[in-house]
Amino acid sequence: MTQLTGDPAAWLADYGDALYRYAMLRVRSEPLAEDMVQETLLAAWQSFAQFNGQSSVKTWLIGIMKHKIIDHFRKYSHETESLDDFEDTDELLAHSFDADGHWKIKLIDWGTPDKSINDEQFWQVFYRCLARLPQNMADLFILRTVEGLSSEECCKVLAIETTNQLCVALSRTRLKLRQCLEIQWFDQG
Amino acid sequence: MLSCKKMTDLLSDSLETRLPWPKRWAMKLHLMVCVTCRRYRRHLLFMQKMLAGGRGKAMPLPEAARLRIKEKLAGKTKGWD
Repeated sequence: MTQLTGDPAAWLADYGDALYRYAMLRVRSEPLAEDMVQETLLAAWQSFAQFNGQSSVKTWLIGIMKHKIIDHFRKYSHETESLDDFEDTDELLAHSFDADGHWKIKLIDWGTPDKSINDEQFWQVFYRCLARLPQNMADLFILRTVEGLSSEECCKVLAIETTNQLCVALSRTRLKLRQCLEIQWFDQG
Repeated sequence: MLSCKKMTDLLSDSLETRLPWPKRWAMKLHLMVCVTCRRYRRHLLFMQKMLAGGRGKAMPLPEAARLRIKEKLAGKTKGWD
């Protein structure tokens, strides 16, 4: 490993796939994701002196990419979603539960993942639902579920103060993503 | 008895860490009697499996893109192969 010398060739070899995957899940464009990886590695190389080694190199690189993606959305997106808003699920909670906290909606049987995993249309819907999440929620879900970053690493990258807050945010994210998939895909038949 | 709303948090938490036994026991009891929470749990596992083991992982940086990135940055950085 040549990570301590700030060698971007090693970063590309070791973390290129993880960075590209994260970018693809967020921006849904191959050329753009490629640019993001390149810009992230260049920025990391330029700012390597500030890397204090408190997080892993992967976490540090993903943190840089997260800011690149936010910059991109600020520049090109007309959406005005708050970057820190985990609270817009209040409406969904009120829609889903009665005053005593019991379900007041019916959940559809989704069947097994094996049926959907190779269905291109399902993935289009899945990505659309992911894209509809507030940015921090999408980041959190991807980094935790796909990249397998630890709770502590997710907190660092996403500036979440405690793992308890992280758990609440993950729960709300799952609730929201589930609702979107149910409406957009499973309730269409 | 736990509320279903609280169950959604615990079910999510249980994907993150091994919960202490009183919580696991309370969840089990709730799941025995609540068909909707059982279904919610299956939905969480479905999403987890789809992204963690499915398409989410099958998205490597294409080799051509890797080479392009390497070439583009080669002139801008020191220590680049």
